[in-house]
Amino acid sequence: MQPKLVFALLLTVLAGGAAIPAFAADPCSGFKWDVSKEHALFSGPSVALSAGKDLASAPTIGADRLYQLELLPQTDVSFALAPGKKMLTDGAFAGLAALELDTPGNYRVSVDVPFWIDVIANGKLAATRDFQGQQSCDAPHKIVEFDLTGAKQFVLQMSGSAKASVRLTVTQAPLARP
Amino acid sequence: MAAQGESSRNAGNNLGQRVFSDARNPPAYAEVDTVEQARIDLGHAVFNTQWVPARTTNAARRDGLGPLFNASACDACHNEGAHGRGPSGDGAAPNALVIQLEVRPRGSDQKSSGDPLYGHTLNTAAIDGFNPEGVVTIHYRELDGRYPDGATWHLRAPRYVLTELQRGPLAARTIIQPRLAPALFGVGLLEAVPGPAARFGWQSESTSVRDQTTKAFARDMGLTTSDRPADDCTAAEPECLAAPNGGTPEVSAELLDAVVEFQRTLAVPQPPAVPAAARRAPGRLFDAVGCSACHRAVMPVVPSGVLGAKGAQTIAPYTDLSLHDLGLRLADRDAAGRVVPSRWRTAPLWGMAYRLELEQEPTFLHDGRARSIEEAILWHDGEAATARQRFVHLTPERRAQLLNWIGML
Repeated sequence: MQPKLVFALLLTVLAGGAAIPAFAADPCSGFKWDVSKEHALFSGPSVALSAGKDLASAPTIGADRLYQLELLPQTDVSFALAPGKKMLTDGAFAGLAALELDTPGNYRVSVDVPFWIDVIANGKLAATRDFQGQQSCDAPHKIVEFDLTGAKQFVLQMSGSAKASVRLTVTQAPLARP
Repeated sequence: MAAQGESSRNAGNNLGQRVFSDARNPPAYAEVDTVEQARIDLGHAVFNTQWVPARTTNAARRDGLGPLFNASACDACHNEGAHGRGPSGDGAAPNALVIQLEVRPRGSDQKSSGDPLYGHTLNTAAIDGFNPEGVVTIHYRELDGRYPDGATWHLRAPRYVLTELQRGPLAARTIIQPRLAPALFGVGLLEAVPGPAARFGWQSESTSVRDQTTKAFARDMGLTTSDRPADDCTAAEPECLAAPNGGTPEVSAELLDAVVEFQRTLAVPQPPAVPAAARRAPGRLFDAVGCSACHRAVMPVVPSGVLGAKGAQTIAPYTDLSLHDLGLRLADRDAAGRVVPSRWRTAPLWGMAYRLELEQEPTFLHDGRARSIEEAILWHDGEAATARQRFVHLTPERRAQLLNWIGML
């Protein structure tokens, strides 16, 4: 561990402004959406599950719970559809989960580490509406908003993870962003 | 200066432009054979890959991230080759906005260098066991004004606050350069324009796509290449220098060649179909205001690589690839707060329609301070002062016509 020599320096780069006090930044404070619901879920207990290596073995997950999912080596996983992002998968972990939602709508999938998320609806990759991420934050690290208005049952595909164990939540997105 | 009428006549020049039907799979600008396509696909995969720390189990080709970095994938800032997301307001700087650090030499025979403590980029992330070099926060001050016709305009002036600096303050002479990840579409075509070598980056600090890529790997991701065998660690960061590496180099020659080729072959998003006649009048306005003096509608390219031997051709990038002084309001400042006269490479305007369609909150200029094309124009000064003056004196209808036209490029 590097010796922690923290030197808080205030640099006012554009002249003419009042000084702003230096502060210890919360690494999760940079989200531009209201992520209080996701943040609260990530602060609570999780449900441990093993992700599926294919559709048949995929566990079922739902909204508003924190899951701790054990992924498999990506080479052992049979995806329902090819992941939406091309990337090198050396040593990567992956897995599938079935997602059941009571109410169609726009949903956020939030994860604690960087990896790729696809949601499959009616045999196709669901459209993403937007995403946000915070580099040094893991509660959550990344949030992807999907348009899940067309069905109630989906397949969640996770791929390209450097870690075998990941945390994930699914939450309904607010109707309107602030 | 642009040839008279160049912009209004340019509607038919679509070399390198393609329809982007799937944002996750940006097309190449030319037909390629299967061998070349495989190389581009590999490069695309490298571009999107999340790199992991050195010695990560089974990471094979993708380890070596950091130990200090800003992003773990090229794609994290240039999403599928697109422009990085700019700041939406006060708060933490977005991932795609990095703080580059430069100390300019006192003599003209020397090269510029990075900050003596932090190097060329302030790394705001770190792998486990290391601390990021600092935290970047942005605060905006709203500026309001009026056009001569009474209509109002609004700008936001940024102030960058650097805190939690691990090694103490920056050197007073270090220039703080906030830089937003630009779009990469058409960079191979810009490389094929004959002329001075340096043409990449907001201030033409890089000589080629490869040069820009290896700088980003080393400084923004902590990944070494054959061209740049060291990360951005400084002598003041011994633990960074002593950190395990993910191979020598960390990005193999095969992967580097492929990711450079992927970028070089990226097409430019085709603008929406608009009748030539409808483009002509605002195109003439673009010329008359003086925009096209720097945002050149027609540039020659020397065919090479994928373009092949097809003879002399032209592209429509809306840039002259030259550096211009845009005034002190846009200039960087050093750590002591002094304004440092800055010259900017004319930003290409091609692909603008795609940007506006793709991005919910597009931002413009080198640090994303402008929230619209209009704001970007209003920030112009210096060599562009006359063009800005002509713009503000247009009637509201003609201003709207011009802005709409730029948004359709």
